[in-house]
Amino acid sequence: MTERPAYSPGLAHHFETHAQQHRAATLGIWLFLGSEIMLFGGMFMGYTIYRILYATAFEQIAAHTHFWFGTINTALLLTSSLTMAMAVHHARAQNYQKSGRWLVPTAVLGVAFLALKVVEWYLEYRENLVPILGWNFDAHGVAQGPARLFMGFYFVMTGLHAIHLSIGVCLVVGLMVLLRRDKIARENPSKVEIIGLYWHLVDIIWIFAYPIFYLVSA
Amino acid sequence: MSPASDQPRHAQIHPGAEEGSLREIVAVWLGLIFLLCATVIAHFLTHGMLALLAAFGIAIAKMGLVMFYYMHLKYRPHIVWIFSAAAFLWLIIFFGLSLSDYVTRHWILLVP
Amino acid sequence: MAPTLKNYLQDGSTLRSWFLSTDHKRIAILYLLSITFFFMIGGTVVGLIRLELLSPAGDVVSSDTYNRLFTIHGVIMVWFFLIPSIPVTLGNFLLPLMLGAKDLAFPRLNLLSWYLFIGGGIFTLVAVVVGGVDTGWTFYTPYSSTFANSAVITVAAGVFITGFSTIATSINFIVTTHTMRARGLTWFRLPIFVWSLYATSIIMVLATPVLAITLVLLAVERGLQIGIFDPSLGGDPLLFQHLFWFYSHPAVYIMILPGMGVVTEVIPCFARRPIFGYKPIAYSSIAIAILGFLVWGHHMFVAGESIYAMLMFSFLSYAVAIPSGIKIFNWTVTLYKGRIYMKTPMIYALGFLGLFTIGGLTGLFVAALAVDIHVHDTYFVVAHFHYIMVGGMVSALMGGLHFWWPKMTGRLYPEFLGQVSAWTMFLGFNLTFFPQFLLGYLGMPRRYHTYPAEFQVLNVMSSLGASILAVGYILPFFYLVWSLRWGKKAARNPWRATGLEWEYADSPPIKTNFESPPIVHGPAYDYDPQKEVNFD
Repeated sequence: MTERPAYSPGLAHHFETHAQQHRAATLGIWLFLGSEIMLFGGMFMGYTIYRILYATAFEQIAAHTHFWFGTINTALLLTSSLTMAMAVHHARAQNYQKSGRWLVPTAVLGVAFLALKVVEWYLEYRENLVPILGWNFDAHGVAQGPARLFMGFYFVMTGLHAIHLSIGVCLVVGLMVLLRRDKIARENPSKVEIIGLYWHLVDIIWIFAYPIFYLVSA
Repeated sequence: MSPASDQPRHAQIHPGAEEGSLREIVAVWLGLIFLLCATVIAHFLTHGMLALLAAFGIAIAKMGLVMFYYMHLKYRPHIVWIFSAAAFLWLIIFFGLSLSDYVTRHWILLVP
Repeated sequence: MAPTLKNYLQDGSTLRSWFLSTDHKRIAILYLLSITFFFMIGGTVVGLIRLELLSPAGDVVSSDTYNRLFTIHGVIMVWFFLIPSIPVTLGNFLLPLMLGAKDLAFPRLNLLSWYLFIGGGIFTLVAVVVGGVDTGWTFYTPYSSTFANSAVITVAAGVFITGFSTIATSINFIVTTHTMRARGLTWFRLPIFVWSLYATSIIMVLATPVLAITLVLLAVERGLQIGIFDPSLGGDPLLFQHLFWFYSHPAVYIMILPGMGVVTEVIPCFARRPIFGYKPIAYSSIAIAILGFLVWGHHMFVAGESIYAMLMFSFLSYAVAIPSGIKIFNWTVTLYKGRIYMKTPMIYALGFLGLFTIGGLTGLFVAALAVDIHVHDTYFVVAHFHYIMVGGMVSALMGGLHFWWPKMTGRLYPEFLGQVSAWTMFLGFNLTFFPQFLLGYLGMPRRYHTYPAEFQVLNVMSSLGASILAVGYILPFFYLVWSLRWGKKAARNPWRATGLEWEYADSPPIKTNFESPPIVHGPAYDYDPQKEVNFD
């Protein structure tokens, strides 16, 4: 059996080896990501039911989403996954300087996504497409009920996604601070990798949200 | 998988923590952008069921690229693959049995 | 010679050392105190309910108050008592010990899970203080989303927060089991309690997020008036029920699997025989976890599902009973030709066997479509699930608490009082709930506080039983607390049980559990019925 080092930087006291600790962190984050998939999955399920029940109305109202906002946002998020992957790569090679530098565009792209999203929501508000709190809702000729259902799901799902993305941005900024202050242990850059996995999941959720809201219309 | 000494120091300390090269990261991104363009083109050129299949097929392909390469599934032991697949499997159960209700609600009973 | 290490209870006595502890054993004790507190609240509420049901007229409380009483009883007992119960107390305490580890994989996450639990609990208690909720613990729409005049969002928020406590615990358990087993401890040498915690954790991590999103959608519909389940918008209230029960049916397996695990530890010890059919019991735990996700529609047989979906769910509900049946057979066969010692934990475990069998079999009754049309929403269903959750799970919790009490506290509980309580509980339980099967079959609906006079005799029996049952729960509270100061000190292994927690850890254990990492050489349950045992 490998002798456990008396003190090993970055190795928690209840683990025997770094490999064990990394394995635990990997399994743990994937379980958490699985729970996030189930969380969003519930909403995807609800959307699918209504899509089947009200196919025509959904197609019609979906024409009023802002296609290019959605598409550009998708490109931004995919690129942020690139920059995140770069940051993780350098962290694992222990080039913490380079890693921190790649985290900057990651956070910036995330914020850009959120900014565009807010603008998009504002446009939808101006077009009376927000079915909340009894606000004036203009279904643009589509059946009222299903139109409101579609837009309701749109706001709840993109809203929850935006919350998750915001948390991601905060985590990335927090990482940047830790890296700047040399607080990431030399032997255990797992933190960057773990947050990277979370970031990629937020990207994946958007990869599926994009077609169901923007690629629906006939 | 390349020999241990080729791996960055991190992977040497933590066997089982390998990952791909910088080239791979960029290539995957190009693939993702290509798929995004494809999905935009498909949106304008296809209708109905074909459009649906195209959109979802491409989404699944994008997800596959992100999970396999960016999330390092390719380099992880198979137990991690099982963990990553579990939620999707459960969603299939959820979708399947729920839809079985909605799709059959208005069927007429076979026995008069 | 090295000085004797302090045990985990002595190692730090400041508030900070308890409330900021990442030691899984201390967190387990924090949880034990918390769930006991919630159990008392949920139990007091039921006292009022049974008081009201002593007479046919609604004379103790108004119908609106009654609605709030049974709702808060359900919410507290399900989410703040039963679902956490064994996993967060016995599970947190024992899992690392049974695996030969120093702690769980993520000790700080463990502490966070307790704070999330308390946070969620505070939200719910605040809701109770401002008048409670009257929707039933099931929050069905459109009543809950549109019409209810009560603190729905507050309670939903409380349950939402607590859900993350559950998810955190389950992630911890799964990862610990995969990565921190001692040398020689292969999967099929694990105690079955570990298998049951693992299966429970699978359910927790996959189902609880769906509850979370369901509550979010409910809150959003109620608070922001976004139509999702609203029929006037073409929404489907049944969608809520699909979402809700996709979680809540597997949740009932969360509320029984750990109890089954405890029973599988107690019976071999007090029959002095290895568990019969180790692998079938291990696999059946996983089978229950998986199959349990396929049957949720059986809660919606009268709600308007399609008949084809109903047929499938009914069939699958029969299938899910099979792994439980396998366990019952295996526990029973383990007793055969064993050397039986009727100690307190064994009384609880044998009680579990009988009561869970009744509860489980009546589950098959309600799984039959024609029967369920008749007994749905009656006391038959109430009796069915209380036989499993109270007769089964709570018995197992009590049995497990007594069994591992010496390990956790270093003290023995008074055996005579233990046996008196176990029997009192068993008799009180049956007197409370058996009449409810009859009431339900005769047509008394649940959630009503008035009923026709012909049902009074059975209701009086049930209320009488409830007061006896209460004694059965209050007694242990007193003598267990008494034992902390005046109980006989326990040796390392007073039950001569097998398992790393008994063989290599002190009673109570030191903070890091073992002086050196244990190594496992053979299968679990190495008991011999030929040898007579002298328990301490």
